[in-house]
Amino acid sequence: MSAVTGHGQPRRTRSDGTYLIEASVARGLGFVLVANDAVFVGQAGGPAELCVAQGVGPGTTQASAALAREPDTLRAMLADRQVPVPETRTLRFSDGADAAVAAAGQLGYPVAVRPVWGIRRPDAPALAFPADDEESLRAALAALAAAFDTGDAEFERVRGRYLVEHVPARCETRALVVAGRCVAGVSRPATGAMARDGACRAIAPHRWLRQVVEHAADAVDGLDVATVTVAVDDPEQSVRRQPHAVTAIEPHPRLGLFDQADPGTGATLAHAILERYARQAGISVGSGRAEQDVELTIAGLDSGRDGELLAGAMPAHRVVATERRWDASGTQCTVAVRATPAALADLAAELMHGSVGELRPRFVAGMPR
Amino acid sequence: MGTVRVASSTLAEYDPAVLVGTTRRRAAAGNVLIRLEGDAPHGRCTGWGEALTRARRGSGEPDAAWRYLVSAVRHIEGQHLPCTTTTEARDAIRGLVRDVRREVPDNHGRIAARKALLGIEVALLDLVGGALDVPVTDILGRYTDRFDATLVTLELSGEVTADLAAVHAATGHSVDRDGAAWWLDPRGYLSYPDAERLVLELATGMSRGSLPRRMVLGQVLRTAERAHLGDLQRLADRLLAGSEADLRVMAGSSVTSMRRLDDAIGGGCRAVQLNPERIGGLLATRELAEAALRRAPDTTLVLGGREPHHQVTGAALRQLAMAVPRVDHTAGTSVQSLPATTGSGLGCEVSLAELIDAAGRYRRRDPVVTGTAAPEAGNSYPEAGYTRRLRTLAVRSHLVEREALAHGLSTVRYSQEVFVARDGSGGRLQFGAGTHASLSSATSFMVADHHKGAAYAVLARAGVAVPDGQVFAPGDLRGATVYARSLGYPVVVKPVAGTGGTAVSTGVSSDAELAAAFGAVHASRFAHGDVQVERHLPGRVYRIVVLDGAVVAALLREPPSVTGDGTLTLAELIIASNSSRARNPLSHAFPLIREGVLAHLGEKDPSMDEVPDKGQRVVVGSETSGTHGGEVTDVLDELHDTIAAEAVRAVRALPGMRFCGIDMILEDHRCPLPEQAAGICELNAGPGLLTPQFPHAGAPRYVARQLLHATAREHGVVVTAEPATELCLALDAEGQALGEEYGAWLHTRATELGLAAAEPTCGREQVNIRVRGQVGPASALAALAIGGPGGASPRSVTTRPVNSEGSETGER
Repeated sequence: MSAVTGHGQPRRTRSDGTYLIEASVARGLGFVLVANDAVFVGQAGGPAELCVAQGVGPGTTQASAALAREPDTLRAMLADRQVPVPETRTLRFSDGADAAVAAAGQLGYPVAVRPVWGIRRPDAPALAFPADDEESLRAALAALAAAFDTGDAEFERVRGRYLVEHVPARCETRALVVAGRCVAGVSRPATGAMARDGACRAIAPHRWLRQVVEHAADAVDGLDVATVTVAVDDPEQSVRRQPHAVTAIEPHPRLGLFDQADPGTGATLAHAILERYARQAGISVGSGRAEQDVELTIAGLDSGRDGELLAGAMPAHRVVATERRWDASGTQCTVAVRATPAALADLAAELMHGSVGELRPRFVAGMPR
Repeated sequence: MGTVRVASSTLAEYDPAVLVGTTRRRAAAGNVLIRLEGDAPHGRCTGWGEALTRARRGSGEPDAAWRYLVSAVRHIEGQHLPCTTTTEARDAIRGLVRDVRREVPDNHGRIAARKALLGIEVALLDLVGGALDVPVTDILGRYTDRFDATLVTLELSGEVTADLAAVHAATGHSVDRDGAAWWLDPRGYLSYPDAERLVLELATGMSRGSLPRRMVLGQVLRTAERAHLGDLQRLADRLLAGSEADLRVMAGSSVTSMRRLDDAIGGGCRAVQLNPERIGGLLATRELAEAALRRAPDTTLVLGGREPHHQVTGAALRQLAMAVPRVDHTAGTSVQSLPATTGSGLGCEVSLAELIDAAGRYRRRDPVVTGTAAPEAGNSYPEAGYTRRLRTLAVRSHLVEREALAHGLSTVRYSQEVFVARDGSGGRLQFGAGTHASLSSATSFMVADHHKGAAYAVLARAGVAVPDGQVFAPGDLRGATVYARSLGYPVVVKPVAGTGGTAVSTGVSSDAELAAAFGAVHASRFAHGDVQVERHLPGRVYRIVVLDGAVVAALLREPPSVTGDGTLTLAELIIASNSSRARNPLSHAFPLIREGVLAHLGEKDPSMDEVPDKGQRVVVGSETSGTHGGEVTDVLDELHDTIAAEAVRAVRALPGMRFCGIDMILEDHRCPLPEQAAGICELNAGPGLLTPQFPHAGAPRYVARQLLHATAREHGVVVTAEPATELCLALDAEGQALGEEYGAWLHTRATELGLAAAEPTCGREQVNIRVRGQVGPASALAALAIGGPGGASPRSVTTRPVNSEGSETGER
């Protein structure tokens, strides 16, 4: 997946796990990366270990993560706790487009239509379609219905229901909350089709917006790190003077988004998040280093088939391998390497996520030497 | 010839609509087939009857009839019926039925019990007919050897204008047919003015010759207005005076006793319909028929009510028709088309195999042999009475909410799967969809449930035994084939993010089967994710549930099966199993279907009428997941310590995992782990709560309660030590478009759940209601309330325990 940064330069989007591996390596911690962007971080030989999956850390509970996937339920809960949320109407596709038009008439344009449940599939299309008037609303509804009409059970989970939601602003802000504090924000135009690939810019959220964001994250129990999305035109001005509403809360930090807006921010935030996670797990972290000597272990390979692929992947990622050995079964390779934390993290991610030939390792682990 | 002793009884409820194919969905209640087996001098004989208890759902009538039937057959069991002559047998049956009739309740179950009585009497007549080797007609008292219907039937809808048009259309071509008489059979009642109008229009048409000259109008007025039927007859007679035409007004469903027969004929009606199911038996119906023809020999006589769904009732009506002095018609074309009976009893062969897909409750007693009812085919639970109203996922959530309310907390429900429990000190417990509590970390769920490859890697690192396996891209069949060959078939193929056994193929034994297994993944909702190929471990599948370092449930998961007792057919064993399944919240939605069973048995044993040997286990399906129709047996007390320890170790391998369901392959759960081939094949961070709480066999484990306690401890929320069994609850629903309609809907649901409900207070955006009753159904109302009727959009439902005076109890 690629995106355009605020500076107009194409850049590969890194996963949250990759940022956290980079921070872990820099801070002298070991890591084990398994599938699904799940990283186990700990000290070499130490009993304590923390697990981070897709950037979600140990302090976030199952219940809160599950809730974040249900926009309509989440908003009902936020509304109960006096968090401003967009006014919505829940409709069924079988109600027809006229019902959506009537609902939009009550809510006031602009509106967006979206499913009542979040779609978990990674390749899901942007499923919030904005509309400024009746004509564009009918088109948006048709587009949403088409997205549902795939026969895919993941879409069928919403059971034919959707939301018509008032959009109170032309821009949306995503703010990162760590341990109850808003630590960063980006802004980009509108909701809906822009939600995945829209250009964004780094902002310094106004203090009252920070209050809204922190209050929203606090309203969902057990959400330690969260990205809160707020519809607001100017996030750097007081929200008391402009319409605004919290439209989503996610348990993932989405560090790539912040890095796109301001390169380098992702890594910086990753350090802050790692410190938070490590403190919760009772793991002490060292100070950051520019280059590390690490013993890299890749499990689940075939020494006869995969050796060359593996050897070729190292220099491509500016990782210098000094020693390589296979275990007796020929399925696990250990390589002594020297590299920057960022290069090592990128290599581990590429290996694990199947981007290097046909390598499908069971895990990739790195221990400081 | 001696006597016939009633040795055993069987009651098999079925849904007539499924039997005749008008629906595939089984209703909660229906008619009941009754089978009595007796010891006669020449050997065993069987009698069949049908209790026509079908009724509007929710009326309580089928339940009342079932209770009555159970007590009635218990009275009959062991009785000796003389069977030397037909007269002696008839008198004995009449006496026995009279005894049973005395137990008919006076309340709303009276009509249901009468319908049940018919079935009991017919079964006794059939039983004795078999013992005597004579048709039932002979026991009743034969008048004729054949019966031919003489009326042409036309159903009326109850809408006068439309019905008149229908009569004209249907009879137009046969007006000139001499002797053809029409029975206009209304399916609804009319007001008296409408009935008058109908009679007027019919009489006018008949006198003008545009309608047939002989017509019988079925009972068009409600029973309460039956006194006016004579008025209608006199009106018809007046209008047709001097004409050859004859319009008869019938007294129908209201004629259930000799007194009412006298009222009808004395009141002027010249046609009578006698319905054995309302009268309560063939013998009593025959007596009324004789009396009617004695009082007015010209009376048009019709027997029966609706079209019988089962041949037993059809045969009984036909036998009755030959045992009355004269009959003009019987309800139901199937009765009229039956062949003249020459055999014994009812003369029909009955196989319960045809009822498998339609069967509901089942009960068999063999008091002569065992002295008690036959053991249930599986556990049953009272919760099934109301959980069927909730979606499956909502039931899991409900089980935890029930515990929260029973332990003194209040709740705010936001969807059928999400709620928050609160104490009075600001403590909150959040429960997400499924069983996602504020206990385990989200990461443990993302590793365990979202990617099996990740979970296996973590377990293997911790030294926990997992099957050898590898993850492949969904399109990499070639790589998977190479790997499977190197691993050695058979293998298991499953989507890495799959749940509930979806698209999992086990025992994959060839390249072709591997390709088919990949195809199954592609066709599933997990088509876009990676595919895990792993070694197939032999053994049985167990679900072991670990909570905070302890095993709280262990369940053996097996495909559905029945076990023979040496007397029941395979069909009957399946019906008995389905009867238990219907009373188990885990499996009520997964009855064993005839087609599925036959497909599974294949060439092995396709006959449903065979009797499996005593103790023989017949596997009738392949699904092992309890939530998809498999059978689960609690084995916690037998679980070997080494297996429990391994399960706990597996959970500890995932940091942040506190509550987990582990799927483990074992040879024997009672043996030490090192002494058997074993492996963990799946971790579930949100394990189902129905499976441990509602196993088909073994003890229920209240894991939902333990989950609540553990979560409350974690977050410092205080709950009461003992759960309440009854609750007074105040429900406050907030949302859009609620109002009176929502309030009435909620009140109706509360009543259906058996709760005492106060009148709701209704506003457009808020509705409040107070209910009192058993903790299960009372708390289930919250899960129903958040759904609401169509059009209403409740946003949240707050439920608080209150005391009987109405003050709060849940928040301290």
